[in-house]
Amino acid sequence: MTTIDEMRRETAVPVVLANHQGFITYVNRPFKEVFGWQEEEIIGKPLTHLIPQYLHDSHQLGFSRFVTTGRPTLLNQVLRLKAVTKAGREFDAEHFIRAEQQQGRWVFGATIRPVGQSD
Amino acid sequence: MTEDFDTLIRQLRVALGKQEVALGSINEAIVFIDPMGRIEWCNAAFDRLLGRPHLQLLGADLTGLFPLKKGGVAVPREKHPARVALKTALHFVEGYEFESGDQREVFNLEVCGTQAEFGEGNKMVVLVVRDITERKRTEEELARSNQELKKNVEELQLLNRVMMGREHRIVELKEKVRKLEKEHGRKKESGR
Repeated sequence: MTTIDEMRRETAVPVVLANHQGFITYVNRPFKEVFGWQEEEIIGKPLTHLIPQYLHDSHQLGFSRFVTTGRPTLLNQVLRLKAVTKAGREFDAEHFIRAEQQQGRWVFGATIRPVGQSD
Repeated sequence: MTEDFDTLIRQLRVALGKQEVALGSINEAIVFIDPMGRIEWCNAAFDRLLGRPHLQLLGADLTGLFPLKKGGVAVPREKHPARVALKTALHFVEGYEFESGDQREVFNLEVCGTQAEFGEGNKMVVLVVRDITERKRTEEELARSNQELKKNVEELQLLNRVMMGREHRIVELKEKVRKLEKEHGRKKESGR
Protein backbone atom coordinates (compact mmCIF):
# COMPACT_ATOMS: atom_id res chain seq x y z
CA MET A 1 0.00 0.00 0.00
CA THR A 2 1.34 3.43 -0.95
CA THR A 3 1.95 5.67 2.06
CA ILE A 4 1.88 9.46 1.99
CA ASP A 5 5.67 9.51 2.41
CA GLU A 6 5.96 7.23 -0.63
CA MET A 7 3.61 9.54 -2.54
CA ARG A 8 5.88 12.46 -1.67
CA ARG A 9 8.79 10.59 -3.28
CA GLU A 10 6.80 9.70 -6.43
CA THR A 11 8.29 11.20 -9.60
CA ALA A 12 6.37 9.57 -12.46
CA VAL A 13 2.69 10.02 -11.53
CA PRO A 14 0.96 13.28 -10.49
CA VAL A 15 0.66 13.56 -6.71
CA VAL A 16 -1.17 16.06 -4.55
CA LEU A 17 -1.18 16.28 -0.76
CA ALA A 18 -3.70 18.21 1.35
CA ASN A 19 -4.22 19.02 5.00
CA HIS A 20 -7.18 18.24 7.27
CA GLN A 21 -8.99 21.36 6.07
CA GLY A 22 -8.79 20.37 2.41
CA PHE A 23 -6.06 22.83 1.40
CA ILE A 24 -3.29 21.71 -0.95
CA THR A 25 0.11 21.46 0.76
CA TYR A 26 2.27 19.72 -1.85
CA VAL A 27 2.31 18.87 -5.54
CA ASN A 28 5.05 17.10 -7.55
CA ARG A 29 6.49 17.83 -10.97
CA PRO A 30 4.18 15.48 -12.99
CA PHE A 31 1.22 17.16 -11.28
CA LYS A 32 2.37 20.57 -12.53
CA GLU A 33 2.81 19.17 -16.05
CA VAL A 34 -0.62 17.55 -16.19
CA PHE A 35 -2.66 20.20 -14.37
CA GLY A 36 -0.83 23.30 -15.61
CA TRP A 37 -0.54 24.88 -12.15
CA GLN A 38 2.72 26.23 -10.79
CA GLU A 39 3.55 25.31 -7.21
CA GLU A 40 3.23 28.88 -5.91
CA GLU A 41 -0.22 29.21 -7.56
CA ILE A 42 -1.78 26.05 -6.17
CA ILE A 43 -0.25 25.54 -2.70
CA GLY A 44 -2.74 26.76 -0.09
CA LYS A 45 -5.68 26.51 -2.48
CA PRO A 46 -8.69 24.23 -1.80
CA LEU A 47 -8.75 20.80 -3.44
CA THR A 48 -11.86 21.91 -5.36
CA HIS A 49 -9.46 23.63 -7.80
CA LEU A 50 -8.77 20.13 -9.16
CA ILE A 51 -12.41 18.94 -9.22
CA PRO A 52 -15.13 19.85 -11.76
CA GLN A 53 -17.64 22.37 -10.40
CA TYR A 54 -20.56 19.92 -10.49
CA LEU A 55 -18.71 17.60 -8.08
CA HIS A 56 -17.80 20.25 -5.49
CA ASP A 57 -20.79 19.55 -3.21
CA SER A 58 -20.13 15.85 -3.28
CA HIS A 59 -16.44 16.40 -2.46
CA GLN A 60 -17.15 18.84 0.39
CA LEU A 61 -19.82 16.62 1.96
CA GLY A 62 -17.77 13.44 1.67
CA PHE A 63 -14.55 15.10 2.87
CA SER A 64 -16.37 16.65 5.84
CA ARG A 65 -18.01 13.36 6.75
CA PHE A 66 -14.62 11.64 6.78
CA VAL A 67 -12.80 14.27 8.87
CA THR A 68 -15.78 14.34 11.28
CA THR A 69 -16.40 10.61 11.66
CA GLY A 70 -13.11 9.03 10.49
CA ARG A 71 -15.16 6.50 8.49
CA PRO A 72 -13.84 6.23 4.92
CA THR A 73 -15.81 5.13 1.87
CA LEU A 74 -13.43 5.98 -0.98
CA LEU A 75 -9.95 5.67 0.48
CA ASN A 76 -7.26 3.10 -0.36
CA GLN A 77 -8.80 1.93 -3.63
CA VAL A 78 -8.43 2.92 -7.26
CA LEU A 79 -11.26 5.25 -8.28
CA ARG A 80 -12.01 6.51 -11.74
CA LEU A 81 -12.96 10.16 -11.32
CA LYS A 82 -12.93 13.39 -13.29
CA ALA A 83 -10.26 15.99 -12.66
CA VAL A 84 -9.88 19.48 -14.05
CA THR A 85 -6.79 21.39 -15.19
CA LYS A 86 -5.96 25.05 -14.62
CA ALA A 87 -7.30 25.73 -18.13
CA GLY A 88 -10.62 24.11 -17.18
CA ARG A 89 -10.14 20.95 -19.24
CA GLU A 90 -11.80 17.92 -17.70
CA PHE A 91 -10.17 14.54 -17.94
CA ASP A 92 -10.66 11.04 -16.59
CA ALA A 93 -8.09 9.84 -14.11
CA GLU A 94 -7.44 6.95 -11.81
CA HIS A 95 -7.26 8.33 -8.30
CA PHE A 96 -5.76 6.53 -5.34
CA ILE A 97 -6.51 8.49 -2.18
CA ARG A 98 -4.98 7.84 1.20
CA ALA A 99 -5.46 9.48 4.58
CA GLU A 100 -3.08 9.29 7.53
CA GLN A 101 -3.08 10.81 10.98
CA GLN A 102 -0.02 12.98 11.49
CA GLN A 103 0.35 14.78 14.82
CA GLY A 104 -3.33 14.23 15.57
CA ARG A 105 -4.57 15.62 12.28
CA TRP A 106 -5.61 14.00 9.02
CA VAL A 107 -3.30 14.40 6.05
CA PHE A 108 -4.47 13.37 2.59
CA GLY A 109 -2.50 12.20 -0.40
CA ALA A 110 -3.62 11.21 -3.89
CA THR A 111 -2.01 9.89 -7.01
CA ILE A 112 -3.92 11.05 -10.09
CA ARG A 113 -3.12 9.00 -13.18
CA PRO A 114 -4.75 10.37 -16.37
CA VAL A 115 -6.46 7.65 -18.41
CA GLY A 116 -7.65 9.56 -21.45
CA GLN A 117 -9.27 12.74 -22.57
CA SER A 118 -12.93 13.51 -21.98
CA ASP A 119 -15.09 15.95 -23.89
CA MET B 1 -7.53 35.81 12.61
CA THR B 2 -5.93 32.52 11.46
CA GLU B 3 -7.23 30.86 14.62
CA ASP B 4 -10.76 32.15 13.92
CA PHE B 5 -10.47 30.95 10.34
CA ASP B 6 -9.36 27.49 11.48
CA THR B 7 -12.24 27.36 13.98
CA LEU B 8 -14.72 28.40 11.31
CA ILE B 9 -13.43 25.75 8.88
CA ARG B 10 -13.58 23.10 11.61
CA GLN B 11 -17.14 24.08 12.56
CA LEU B 12 -18.26 24.05 8.92
CA ARG B 13 -16.61 20.65 8.35
CA VAL B 14 -18.43 19.23 11.37
CA ALA B 15 -21.75 20.74 10.25
CA LEU B 16 -21.33 19.37 6.71
CA GLY B 17 -20.21 16.00 8.05
CA LYS B 18 -23.33 15.76 10.21
CA GLN B 19 -25.52 16.68 7.22
CA GLU B 20 -23.92 13.91 5.16
CA VAL B 21 -24.39 11.33 7.91
CA ALA B 22 -28.01 12.41 8.51
CA LEU B 23 -28.97 12.50 4.83
CA GLY B 24 -27.21 9.19 4.29
CA SER B 25 -29.21 7.44 7.01
CA ILE B 26 -32.75 8.29 5.88
CA ASN B 27 -34.95 6.07 3.72
CA GLU B 28 -35.95 8.79 1.25
CA ALA B 29 -33.66 9.10 -1.76
CA ILE B 30 -32.25 12.61 -2.27
CA VAL B 31 -30.45 13.91 -5.33
CA PHE B 32 -28.99 17.36 -6.15
CA ILE B 33 -28.85 18.33 -9.83
CA ASP B 34 -27.01 21.19 -11.53
CA PRO B 35 -28.58 23.38 -14.29
CA MET B 36 -27.33 20.88 -16.90
CA GLY B 37 -29.27 18.07 -15.21
CA ARG B 38 -26.10 16.38 -13.90
CA ILE B 39 -26.05 14.68 -10.52
CA GLU B 40 -24.03 16.80 -8.10
CA TRP B 41 -24.70 14.70 -5.03
CA CYS B 42 -27.03 11.90 -3.95
CA ASN B 43 -27.51 9.95 -0.75
CA ALA B 44 -27.14 6.23 -0.05
CA ALA B 45 -30.90 5.62 -0.50
CA PHE B 46 -30.65 6.97 -4.06
CA ASP B 47 -27.65 4.67 -4.78
CA ARG B 48 -29.74 1.71 -3.52
CA LEU B 49 -32.80 2.70 -5.55
CA LEU B 50 -30.78 2.85 -8.76
CA GLY B 51 -28.69 -0.18 -7.79
CA ARG B 52 -25.45 1.45 -8.91
CA PRO B 53 -22.18 2.40 -7.20
CA HIS B 54 -22.17 5.98 -5.89
CA LEU B 55 -19.28 7.14 -8.08
CA GLN B 56 -21.05 5.97 -11.25
CA LEU B 57 -23.90 8.34 -10.47
CA LEU B 58 -21.96 11.52 -9.77
CA GLY B 59 -21.81 13.82 -12.79
CA ALA B 60 -24.18 11.62 -14.81
CA ASP B 61 -27.32 12.96 -16.52
CA LEU B 62 -30.20 12.16 -14.17
CA THR B 63 -32.92 11.77 -16.82
CA GLY B 64 -30.88 9.05 -18.55
CA LEU B 65 -30.10 7.14 -15.36
CA PHE B 66 -33.50 7.51 -13.77
CA PRO B 67 -36.17 6.89 -16.44
CA LEU B 68 -39.70 7.20 -15.07
CA LYS B 69 -43.16 6.08 -16.14
CA LYS B 70 -46.59 7.45 -15.38
CA GLY B 71 -49.52 5.08 -15.68
CA GLY B 72 -47.22 2.62 -17.46
CA VAL B 73 -46.21 5.18 -20.12
CA ALA B 74 -42.61 6.46 -20.31
CA VAL B 75 -42.23 10.08 -19.18
CA PRO B 76 -40.55 12.09 -21.98
CA ARG B 77 -37.23 13.76 -21.12
CA GLU B 78 -38.74 17.27 -21.06
CA LYS B 79 -41.42 16.16 -18.60
CA HIS B 80 -39.00 14.35 -16.28
CA PRO B 81 -39.27 15.90 -12.79
CA ALA B 82 -35.60 16.94 -12.97
CA ARG B 83 -36.33 18.98 -16.12
CA VAL B 84 -39.63 20.33 -14.77
CA ALA B 85 -37.95 21.46 -11.54
CA LEU B 86 -35.15 23.15 -13.50
CA LYS B 87 -37.65 25.01 -15.70
CA THR B 88 -40.09 26.08 -13.01
CA ALA B 89 -39.48 27.45 -9.56
CA LEU B 90 -42.56 25.63 -8.27
CA HIS B 91 -42.36 23.02 -5.57
CA PHE B 92 -44.24 19.92 -6.74
CA VAL B 93 -45.08 16.39 -5.67
CA GLU B 94 -45.91 13.80 -8.33
CA GLY B 95 -46.35 10.04 -8.47
CA TYR B 96 -44.27 7.94 -10.91
CA GLU B 97 -43.24 4.36 -11.57
CA PHE B 98 -39.63 3.31 -11.87
CA GLU B 99 -38.41 -0.01 -13.18
CA SER B 100 -35.16 -1.08 -11.60
CA GLY B 101 -32.80 -2.35 -14.31
CA ASP B 102 -31.13 -4.99 -12.15
CA GLN B 103 -33.97 -6.34 -10.05
CA ARG B 104 -36.72 -6.14 -12.69
CA GLU B 105 -38.95 -4.68 -10.04
CA VAL B 106 -41.42 -1.83 -10.48
CA PHE B 107 -41.34 0.80 -7.76
CA ASN B 108 -44.09 3.31 -7.11
CA LEU B 109 -42.42 6.58 -6.28
CA GLU B 110 -43.50 9.93 -4.93
CA VAL B 111 -41.11 12.57 -6.26
CA CYS B 112 -40.88 16.05 -4.70
CA GLY B 113 -38.99 18.67 -6.71
CA THR B 114 -37.63 21.97 -5.45
CA GLN B 115 -35.47 24.53 -7.20
CA ALA B 116 -33.08 26.74 -5.29
CA GLU B 117 -30.81 29.56 -6.41
CA PHE B 118 -27.62 30.41 -4.56
CA GLY B 119 -26.32 33.70 -5.88
CA GLU B 120 -25.93 34.63 -9.52
CA GLY B 121 -26.97 31.80 -11.83
CA ASN B 122 -26.01 29.18 -9.26
CA LYS B 123 -29.24 27.26 -9.67
CA MET B 124 -29.82 23.74 -8.44
CA VAL B 125 -32.65 21.29 -8.04
CA VAL B 126 -33.30 18.92 -5.18
CA LEU B 127 -35.42 15.85 -5.80
CA VAL B 128 -36.67 13.84 -2.84
CA VAL B 129 -37.88 10.40 -3.84
CA ARG B 130 -40.06 8.33 -1.55
CA ASP B 131 -40.68 4.66 -2.27
CA ILE B 132 -44.44 4.23 -1.83
CA THR B 133 -44.65 0.77 -3.42
CA GLU B 134 -45.74 -0.88 -0.16
CA ARG B 135 -48.26 1.87 0.58
CA LYS B 136 -49.66 1.61 -2.95
CA ARG B 137 -49.95 -2.18 -2.65
CA THR B 138 -51.74 -1.82 0.70
CA GLU B 139 -54.08 0.78 -0.78
CA GLU B 140 -54.86 -1.50 -3.71
CA GLU B 141 -55.47 -4.44 -1.37
CA LEU B 142 -57.69 -2.28 0.79
CA ALA B 143 -59.67 -1.18 -2.28
CA ARG B 144 -60.02 -4.84 -3.36
CA SER B 145 -61.17 -5.82 0.16
CA ASN B 146 -63.67 -2.95 0.17
CA GLN B 147 -65.03 -4.08 -3.18
CA GLU B 148 -65.34 -7.66 -1.92
CA LEU B 149 -66.99 -6.51 1.28
CA LYS B 150 -69.49 -4.44 -0.71
CA LYS B 151 -70.29 -7.46 -2.90
CA ASN B 152 -70.76 -9.69 0.17
CA VAL B 153 -73.07 -7.14 1.80
CA GLU B 154 -75.18 -7.00 -1.38
CA GLU B 155 -75.41 -10.80 -1.46
CA LEU B 156 -76.38 -10.87 2.21
CA GLN B 157 -79.04 -8.24 1.65
CA LEU B 158 -80.45 -10.30 -1.23
CA LEU B 159 -80.39 -13.46 0.87
CA ASN B 160 -82.04 -11.57 3.70
CA ARG B 161 -84.83 -10.48 1.37
CA VAL B 162 -85.30 -14.09 0.19
CA MET B 163 -85.26 -15.41 3.75
CA MET B 164 -87.75 -12.80 4.87
CA GLY B 165 -90.04 -13.79 1.98
CA ARG B 166 -89.73 -17.44 2.98
CA GLU B 167 -90.40 -16.66 6.61
CA HIS B 168 -93.53 -14.81 5.59
CA ARG B 169 -94.62 -17.81 3.50
CA ILE B 170 -93.94 -20.17 6.45
CA VAL B 171 -96.15 -18.01 8.69
CA GLU B 172 -98.89 -18.15 6.05
CA LEU B 173 -98.55 -21.92 5.73
CA LYS B 174 -98.56 -22.38 9.51
CA GLU B 175 -101.75 -20.34 9.70
CA LYS B 176 -103.27 -22.49 6.96
CA VAL B 177 -102.27 -25.69 8.78
CA ARG B 178 -103.73 -24.35 12.02
CA LYS B 179 -107.03 -23.55 10.25
CA LEU B 180 -107.14 -27.00 8.60
CA GLU B 181 -106.43 -28.68 11.93
CA LYS B 182 -109.18 -26.67 13.55
CA GLU B 183 -111.61 -27.60 10.75
CA HIS B 184 -110.56 -31.23 10.91
CA GLY B 185 -111.18 -31.18 14.70
CA ARG B 186 -114.65 -29.75 14.24
CA LYS B 187 -115.59 -32.38 11.59
CA LYS B 188 -114.31 -35.11 13.89
CA GLU B 189 -116.48 -33.77 16.73
CA SER B 190 -119.67 -33.63 14.59
CA GLY B 191 -119.06 -37.15 13.20
CA ARG B 192 -119.25 -38.73 16.65
